Amino acid sequence: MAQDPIIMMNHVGLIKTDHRGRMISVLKDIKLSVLSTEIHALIGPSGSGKSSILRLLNRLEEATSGDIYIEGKTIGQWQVRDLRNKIGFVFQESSLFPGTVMDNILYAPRIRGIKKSKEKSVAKEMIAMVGLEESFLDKEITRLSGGEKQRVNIARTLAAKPEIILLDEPTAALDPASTQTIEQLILNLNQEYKKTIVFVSHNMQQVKRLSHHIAVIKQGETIYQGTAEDFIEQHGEDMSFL
Amino acid sequence: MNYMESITTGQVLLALVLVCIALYLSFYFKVNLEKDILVATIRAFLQLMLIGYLLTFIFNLKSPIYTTVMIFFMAGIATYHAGKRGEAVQGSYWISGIAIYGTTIITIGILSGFGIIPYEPQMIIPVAGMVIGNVMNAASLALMRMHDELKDKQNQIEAALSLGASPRQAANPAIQKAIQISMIPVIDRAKIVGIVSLPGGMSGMILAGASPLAAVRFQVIIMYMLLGSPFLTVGIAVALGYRQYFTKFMQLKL
Repeated sequence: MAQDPIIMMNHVGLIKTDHRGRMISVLKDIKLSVLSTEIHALIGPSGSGKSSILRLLNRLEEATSGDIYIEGKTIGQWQVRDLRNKIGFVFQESSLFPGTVMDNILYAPRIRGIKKSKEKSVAKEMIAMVGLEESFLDKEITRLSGGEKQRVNIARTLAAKPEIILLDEPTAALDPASTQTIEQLILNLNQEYKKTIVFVSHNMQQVKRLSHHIAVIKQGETIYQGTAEDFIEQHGEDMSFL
Repeated sequence: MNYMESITTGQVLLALVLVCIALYLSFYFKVNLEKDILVATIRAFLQLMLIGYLLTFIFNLKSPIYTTVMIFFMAGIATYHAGKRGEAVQGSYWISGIAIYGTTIITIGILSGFGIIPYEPQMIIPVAGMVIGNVMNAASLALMRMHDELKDKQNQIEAALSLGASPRQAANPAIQKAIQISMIPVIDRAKIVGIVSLPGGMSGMILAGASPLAAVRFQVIIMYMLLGSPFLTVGIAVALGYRQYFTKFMQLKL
């Protein structure tokens, strides 16, 4: 029997108002089906609406049409907090809070009232999960490299213990070495910790390396769902036709 | 009769010499401010004459009701100005209104209730004017600053929300910054008072013939009032203001 998707989007649309008050159709017809414990990529050109899909899944915005299901329940049936505890969102690195690595990692545990005595052990566990030394915990965020920041960013989301992790262009601003580290980390989170991962990328090579399934997004519409290999076989690796 | 009571219209007109200097300098440096200076000179004269007659009328009535109406009218004007300046914040008018009216009622209530300043028009109206003028600036500064902070920190606020923070928790750094920025000038003014500047109220009392020590005692009351009341206004304004930026589903809306 086929597995039920953990995330499903049916004909989802999103209309936003820009700063001049004009209506813009950001998403027109998004279809998405993500299976539990898989890595799923959203790929497409800049401005195609990939990041908006992640924002809808974390309920940072409301879809204007269509249905979104998480574990079979519509997104409206979830308490917002429960949904966000289940689905973690790794934003781009500029979302890190000022302060130390430890302050960032412990943000979610502190909101949930973690005991002071347990803080250190949780922070150590999280920093180890992203492959950084314990000595990083006391470092100021401003002193980290791009790759280190991104790992702290992931550790901060992991500390909230999500089952599903959304990553918005996780390697966009990174050099090749850091990109490789983050890609390995994504694979580890999936294989070792059984996290379901949805990530946004515009790099077909990366998508092929990491994902089980992909959705190709063009101008707010899903134009392909399947494996990266099948897509490449049909269209080649050149994404310029999008 | 002291000097204050003896000022003649002729003396007032002679003071226009100083305005003429300003006009000449504006002309000399070609900064094109002559019209503004003239308008400001005439407006200041008319507004102050008007308030002079109005206050004389209210002082003569010696009615707590008219005194209260006057204070509420002043708070209304301040609400309009603070609301207009903070227009970037949705609901800035009613937020400023609650903050300014609330602060005025509480501050004047404490001052009169404890018998620090008697609820008599010639005492309480000028004091209320100082409170209202002061909190008007604090309210609009706090609202504008909070708006800018929420906009600048959009990424961090949404990251906090996605990590399970409530809107209050997520907006906290922006709220703190708005309070700090709007309170720093108030606190700094209290720190340097008497050293760098002599406050207007105290100067006025000395000019009117009061002893410096009596003027100082009164001024200390005023300074404490001007220190406490903006905090109250800013607190109310940001507590109501930040809520305008979040939906019931804990989404940031800018």
